[in-house]
Amino acid sequence: MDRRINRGYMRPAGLCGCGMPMNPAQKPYPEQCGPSLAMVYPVMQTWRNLYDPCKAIARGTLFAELDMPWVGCNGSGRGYAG
Amino acid sequence: MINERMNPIFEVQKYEFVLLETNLYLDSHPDDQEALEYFRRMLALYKDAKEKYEAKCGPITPDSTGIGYERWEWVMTPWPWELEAN
Repeated sequence: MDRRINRGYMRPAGLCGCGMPMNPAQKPYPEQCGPSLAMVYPVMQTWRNLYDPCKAIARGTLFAELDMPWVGCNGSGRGYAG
Repeated sequence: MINERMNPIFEVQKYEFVLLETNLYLDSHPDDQEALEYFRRMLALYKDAKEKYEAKCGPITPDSTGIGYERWEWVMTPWPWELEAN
């Protein structure tokens, strides 16, 4: 068996990721072992912690809460973290 | 290299940017009075900065080209990105 299936990002064929057998009526995606679809529920932003206009345009956002470091792929922590 | 803070158009651009940010916030929070008040305040500062810039360097949007000029000033002054000329 392919060893990759136990590394979290790969799943055994036929499983949707929840451990239950896959519904046969559900059409599998071609990359069955790739990332799955997701539903996202972000919290509503509130009006607070604003940057002044000079800092806002320099940081690329008006909102300090949305000024997050850009982390490159693989979560290596490398890349621009301003 | 020209320091962006020394560039007179930066005054216009920074208000333009915060207006856009506030615009996006208000799209999902249309009743947020604090954000509305901030938008109005920044709009006044933006208009003021734009007016000052245009009086000195010429129009930066075509809608202000026809006002206060005797010709189509839009093409007669340096473009904003011609920094040496501004």
